Order: sequence, then structure tokens, then C-alpha cells
Amino acid sequence: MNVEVLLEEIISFIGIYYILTAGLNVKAGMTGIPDFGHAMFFAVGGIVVGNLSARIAAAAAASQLNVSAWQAVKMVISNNTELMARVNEILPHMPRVSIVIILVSVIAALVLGGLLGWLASYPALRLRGDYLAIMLLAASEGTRIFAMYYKPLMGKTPTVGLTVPNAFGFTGNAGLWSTIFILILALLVYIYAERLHHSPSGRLFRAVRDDEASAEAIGKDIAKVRRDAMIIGSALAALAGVAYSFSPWIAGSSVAAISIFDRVLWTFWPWALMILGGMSSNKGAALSSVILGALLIGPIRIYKNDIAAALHVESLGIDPGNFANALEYILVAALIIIVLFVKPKGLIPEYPSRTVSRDEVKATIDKIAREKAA
Amino acid sequence: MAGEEPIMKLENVNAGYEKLQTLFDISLEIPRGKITVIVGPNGAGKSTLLKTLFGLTTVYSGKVLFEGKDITHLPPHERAKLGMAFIFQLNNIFANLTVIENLRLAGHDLPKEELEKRIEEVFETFPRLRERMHQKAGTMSGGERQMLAMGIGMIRKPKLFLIDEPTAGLAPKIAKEVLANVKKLNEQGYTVVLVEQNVKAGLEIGHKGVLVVSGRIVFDGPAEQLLARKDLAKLYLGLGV
Amino acid sequence: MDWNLFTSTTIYASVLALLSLGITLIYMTTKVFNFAHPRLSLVAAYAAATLMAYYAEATGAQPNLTPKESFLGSLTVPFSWEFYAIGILVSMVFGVIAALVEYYAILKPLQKRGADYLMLMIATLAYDFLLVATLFIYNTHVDVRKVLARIGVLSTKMSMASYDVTVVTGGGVFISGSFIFSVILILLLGISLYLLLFKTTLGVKMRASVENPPLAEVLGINVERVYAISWIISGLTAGLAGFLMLMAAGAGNLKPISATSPADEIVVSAFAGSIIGGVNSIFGSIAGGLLIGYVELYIPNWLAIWTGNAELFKYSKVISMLAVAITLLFAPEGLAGLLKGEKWKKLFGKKEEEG
Repeated sequence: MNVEVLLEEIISFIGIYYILTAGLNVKAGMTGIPDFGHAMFFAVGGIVVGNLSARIAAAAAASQLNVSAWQAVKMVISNNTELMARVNEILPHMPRVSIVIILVSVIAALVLGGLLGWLASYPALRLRGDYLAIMLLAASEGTRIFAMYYKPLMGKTPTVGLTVPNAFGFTGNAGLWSTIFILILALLVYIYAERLHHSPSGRLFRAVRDDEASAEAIGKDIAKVRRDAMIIGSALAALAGVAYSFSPWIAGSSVAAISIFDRVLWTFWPWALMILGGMSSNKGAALSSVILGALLIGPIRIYKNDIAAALHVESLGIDPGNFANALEYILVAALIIIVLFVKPKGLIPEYPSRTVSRDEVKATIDKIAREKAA
Repeated sequence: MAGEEPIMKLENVNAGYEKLQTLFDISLEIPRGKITVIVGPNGAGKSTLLKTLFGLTTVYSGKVLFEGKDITHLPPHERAKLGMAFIFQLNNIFANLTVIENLRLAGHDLPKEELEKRIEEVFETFPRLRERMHQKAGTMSGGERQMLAMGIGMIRKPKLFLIDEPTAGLAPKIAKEVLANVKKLNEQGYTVVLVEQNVKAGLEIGHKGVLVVSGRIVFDGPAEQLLARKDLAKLYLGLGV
Repeated sequence: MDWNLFTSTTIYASVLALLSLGITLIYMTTKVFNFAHPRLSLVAAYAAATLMAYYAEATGAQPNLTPKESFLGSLTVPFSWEFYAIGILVSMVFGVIAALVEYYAILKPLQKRGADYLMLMIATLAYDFLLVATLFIYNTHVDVRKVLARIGVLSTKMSMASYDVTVVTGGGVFISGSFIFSVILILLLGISLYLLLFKTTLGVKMRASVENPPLAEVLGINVERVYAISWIISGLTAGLAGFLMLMAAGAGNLKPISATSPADEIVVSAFAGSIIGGVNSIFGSIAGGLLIGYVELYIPNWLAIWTGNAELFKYSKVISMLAVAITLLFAPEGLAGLLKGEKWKKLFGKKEEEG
């Protein structure tokens, strides 16, 4: 097993899940919107890469393929596998086009993810609680089925989907550089999320979550707050989707509706991570992503055969390969249950907002008193 | 009267909700056949005391006795079977059912003839309910709902009525009617323990008065005495002199 | 009329009705949407198949596919009646067991600790994962595979459709045992639920416990026992749904059963049935489940014929999702609410009270 490849996979896993969970955190943890349809925003990122960016790549490579740009763009859907195989051979020789594709993917995902989040915020204004949760879940599932069969969106074969353009090929080491790219994204998201969390906006989000009536009573526009949360959180989810599409995890193969809309991987696992880390805690999201990736999923994927052997799985008549898959499910389930029972507030529970210290207040009062006396 | 065994006794009870203790070292006797009124400032533990009698709180230590039996850890539905009736402040009727359906439901385990007899008794005590027999309970006024709640309790012919702030949120005139109904209930022979926000009106219909402050009993004696204690009234009950 | 479409749709709709009923029962009592519910059916299906297979092995039974002439037509009964009876019973038992484990080991303890609806919902997710893992491991077990092969079933693609009881009438009409079983089951279910809820003391207690649990408690009703009974009924119906899925996978929208599907596909349709029927109404859930089943198959069918585009058939689930969205946004009490003639804004009132 190639250590470098493994490390890249684990690190990008952590990065992708951090960004995804941070996005969910803004919606659900901070603002109290129970988004069980988070996966569909993640999928937007995948569609941006597999559809939009692929078309850009195809148009750029068209001349070398002896077709017109327009034809190439159409062939992304009509003839995806063959076309993209050729495009991906050409793309590494076009560094500037590759960089454009990466940037466009990021920007388009943020915009489109945010847009879809904005649309999804309308039910969030009218519904609450478990009704809203089911509504968003249904929306995600409906969108999944639609995307699966609507060819202009995800290609002709639902199980295969669209091949991802090899935008990191020009670096000579796609695995390494895509991982670095994901890390940079994760870092930027972390900085943003931390600042959001400690900002007045962050406090406003949490205020709306905790006591809508009071927030409204002091003149805050609740609807706008929820809309903003949905936009930001969904945009981040789409960003995670872009990260996933370029990551060494799928190593340039394809994105299909069944994979990028998967509610277990992209809705339920982020929920588990958010609960483990502590609802609304950005640091918690980072911590739990690291735990899941580095301590749990990573080792399982590396050592699955050893674990199976240690548990004498084969002698019990169980197939070791399937056992490893099952182990991931058991692990996440056990994690959720243990957290709910033992530490329901998560690893980094939410504390009341930091306000100005007592000494500072006193100093200010003294200062004002002195100025008045003077 | 004197020397008659109290229907309920609390002995050095410490209780609260989950881990939050709200009652401290409570010892109290509930006299049979009388109205015991529990008053006190907000958050003092009046409702907790009442709920502890019915088993709706966590008892950390001490004993709760009903007719001499230790019922400290008996669940509420078992206490109902022993002869205790609890009337909640809110949501104390089945709003979606009619008055008659509510009463029939209350006597769900009674033979038909007996049930009809008891329903008739309720209508005699509260004639207004007979007028509203087929009206949906949720559409009745606050005072009428309290009446129905008491009627529901009566069907079960309990030995003891525990009533939690029945006049809360009601206009003064209606509040007076409700308390008059409580008195009617007592005149039928039921022992009543009443938690009342409206101190004066509550103590006026009561026989025994109990003042609870910060989870402790500060006064335990005849109701008229408590009413006359100006010092306590001023300090705790906001009754101006 | 296309008889085949009707029979396979009826079977699918019956499965949904059973699942929606279970979901609604749990929502009314434990106040949570039980994501694990369809997976309970799968557990029941696997248990039923396994024990049916062991029975076949023990009695040396072989599937007999030669039709016999009867007054109905040519009747094919591949295995003995006891064989199928065992399947039905076992599926009910395991459905109940899986349901009660979920309630007593996970949900009730969490409720005692004051978990809110969100935590409970996520707990049901976790239980779902556990069941998936169990089934995953189970269906690749060497011995299990051997035993199931005995009745011609691949453990990874469980379907006994080819061993269903079938009748081909004189007029050439093909009736499957699963179809007859579904129809009878739904009728019996409706009747027995009605009798239970409105003609028995237990039913009165159940209705009171759901309407106002503290008050019911005060009236001497053991509300906890009512909740336990609801979970048992929920498990029973989940089990029966599992048996139907096993026998009829391939009917309508039921794909062959494996550890992860069709429970995954069916989850959203089952919840749709529950919501459209009215999430606080038992008869609503049965009606809702049936409705969604027929809607999911007939409407795309008509659309496909009308537009000549056979592809439209694949979008059947999107219709259910739209139905859920419209119901939640405009008629949150579902069919039951509409039939009562009141479109309550109870939705907002309820959530705000729980604040």
C-alpha cells in the first residue's frame, strides 16, 4: 500500500468532511435549521465539476480533437466517457486552462450552492422542527432521482455519471496537489467560519436559533437570517462537493448521482460529526472531522484486512471484505449513540458568547467618570 | 375532627425535578375532608409540592404516605388507582372530545350503569356542563373547562383532589366562580389540596393554609390565621396593608 | 385495464401502507420520525427467508412448479402452506423484536435523559446503520448463503417472487398469492384497527394516551404500556411488510432485496405516505401509503403514455417528493386534516409551544 497515496486520501477525506460539516454547522448548529437534505448542496459541487467544468475543458480541447467547440460541449453529455478520456489526456498540457477550470469550479459552486440554498430557505421559513427536516430530506431525495435520470445534468448512464476533468494533471502529481488544494480550501473555510462564529452575525444566527420571538422583538429580520444561513451553509457544502470531485479519493474517475447525492455519506455523517464536535462549534467540526478521518475511517480502510483477521471473522463464516464496509457503518452508529448518551453537547460544547471582561467594563466606567470630572 | 388520621403525610421530603432540588425538608399533614390551600411567591415550590403528592417529581429522600401506606415511589397512574385525582393547570381536559365523551373516557373502566350514575352526579353538581354536553371541550371558556376538569375527577370518585392553580389566567369574576366550585366539590365530601395564586380568595375558602417560600414551609396552620398574619402577608405574598 | 400493473401496484401500495402505519404510530407516541422503520422490515424479511429455508431443508422440500388444476384455474403452490405460514409468523416476530430493541435500548433511555426531537431522530439513524451493518454481514455469511440457496434465493438479492403461489384463471388472468395476501391483509388491518381503537377499552386508553398523556395517566391509564403496545404493532406491521417485500420483490417499485435496498428507496415513499395521510392519523397513514403507492406507479405510467416518453417512468419518486413538499407547506395535517374540514395552522402552534 502506497503510504503517500493513503495519506493523501485521508487528508483530503478530513478536508472534505470539515468543509461539509462546517457548512451544516452554519445552518443547523448555529441557526437551528434541521437540514437533512444537506447532500443535495454537496451534489451541486459535483455537478459543477462534472458538467460545467468538463464542458469548459472540452471546449478548450476541441481544436485538438478535430471537433468544433460547440460539438465538444455537447459531447460531454452525449459521449461522456470517450470524450473525457481524450480530454483528460490533453488537459495536463494546458496549465492555464486547468487553473481556470479549478477557479471557475470553486466560484460556480459557491454561487450555485448558495442559490439553491436560497431557494431551499423558503420552506425553512414556513416550517419548523421535524416537519422541516423531513421536507428537506424529501427535497434532497427528489433532486437525487431527478438528477439521476435527467441526462443533460448527469449524463446518459445513471450508474456511471460524468467523468471528472483532470484539472490537476498539469502539476505532474495530481494526487499531491489536489490534496494541497483541499487543505487550502479547508483552511480558508476554517478562518471564515471562525470569524463568522465570533462575529455579531454569528451571535445573531444563534439568537434566532435560541429564541426567535425575542430576536424579532428587537427588530431583527428572522427571515433574512435564516435565508443567509441557508445560503452560506449550502455554498460551503457545494465547495466540499468540488473538493470531493477533484480529490484523490475518486482519483479522477466519475461523479454519479448515486454517489454525490448519497444521503448517508453527505447528510447523515456530517450530522454525526456535528453532534460529536458540538453543535454550532466550528472547532468541534474540525476536531471531529480529524477524528473520523484519521482515527476511524482511515485506519479501517488501511487495516481492514488485519482487523478482520484479528476478529477471526473468516472462521465465523463472514466475508472479510464486506465486513470492512459493515465496520464503517457500525463505527459511525456507535459513535452517534455513545455521544448522545455520554456527551450530548459534543466534544466542544457551546459556551455563552464571550463578552467584554469585567475589568474592561470597570476601566471604561472609571475613564468616563474621570473625563466628566475633568 | 381532631385525632382523625390525615389522608396524606409528607415526612422530611426532599424533592425536585431530575437533579434540580426545589423542596427542602418538607413535613406536612393533609387533613381528611378539608380544603388545604398552598400559597407562596412565584417559584417557591407550591406546584412542586403538589406534584410531589402525585408522584410527578423526583424524591431524593423522605416519605410520602397515603392513608398510612408508603407511596413515595409509586408511579402516578397507580396513585390514581389508589384514589388520588390531579387537576393540571393547563391541558386538563381532552380538547378534541365533547363534554360527555370526556366524562365517559374518565370512567373508562367502570361498568356502564355506574358510569351513567356518576355522570348524572357531575351534572347535578355542575348544571352548566349538562347544558354543554355535546360541545367540544376545547371550545369552552376557561372557567367551564376547569369545571369539566373537576367533573372528570369526580367520575373516578377519588378520595383526594389535587388542584393546581385553577384560576390562573382567568378574569376575577370567573376565578371566584371556580373557587366556589372547588368549595362545592369539598362539600360533596372530597378532600382537596389546592395551590392558589390568588392568596386572599384561596385562603378564604380553605380550612388549612400552608405558606411555602423558597422550597420550605414557613407557615402551617388554620387558613384564617395565615390570612390574618400581616407580617407574612406583606413579606411574602405582596398583600399590602 | 392492465391487470399486471394493477396487481403489482397493489402489492407495492400495501407495503407502503404497512410502513406508513408503523411510522405514524411511532410519531404519535414517541414523537419522532423513525428512520429505521423500513429497515426493520428488511430484518424481518431476512429472518423469514432464513427460517423458511431451514424448514425446507429439515423437511427435504423441493419447489414444485407444476400447476395443478383447481376450480380457480391452474394453481401453482411451490411449497407447502406451512412453509409460507412460517415466513409470515417469523417476519412478525422479528419485526417486533427489532422494534422493541430500538425502543427500549435506545429511544426510551434517551427520552428519559431529556433528548429533543433532533437527537431522537439521529438516534433512529444510528440504529438504522446498525441494522444495515448486521444485514450486510449476515447476508455474506457462508452458512446463510448455503441455506438460502436451498430455496433458490441469493442472499444478496433476496426475492422469492418465483416461488409465490400463483393462479392462472380460465380467462388467462394471472393472480399472485402476494396480491391476494396484500388485499386481505390491508382489509383485515383496517378492520382490526378500527375495532381495537373504537370498540375496546384498550383502544380508548390508546386514544386518550395520544391525545393527552398526562391526563390519561391521571385517569389511571398506564400510558407507558400503551406506548409499548404501539411499538409492538409497529413492529408487527413492519414484519408483514418485510414478508411481502420478500415474496414480491419485483412488484411495482420493489427492487430485489439486499441489505441496503429497497429499504433505501422505499424510505422516502413510506414517509411520504405517512405525511400525506396525516402524521397524527392512523387511518390516514394507511390511506396515504396506499395513495402514494398507486400515484407513484400510475401517474408516470399515464404521463409516459400521454407523452410517448417511456423515460418519464423513472421519475416516479419525484412525484412523491413533490407531494410531501406540497402537503407540508399547504396542508400539514394531510388527508386526515383536509377531511376534517379544518386546515389548522396547528403546525406553527405546536412547534412554538414546544419552543
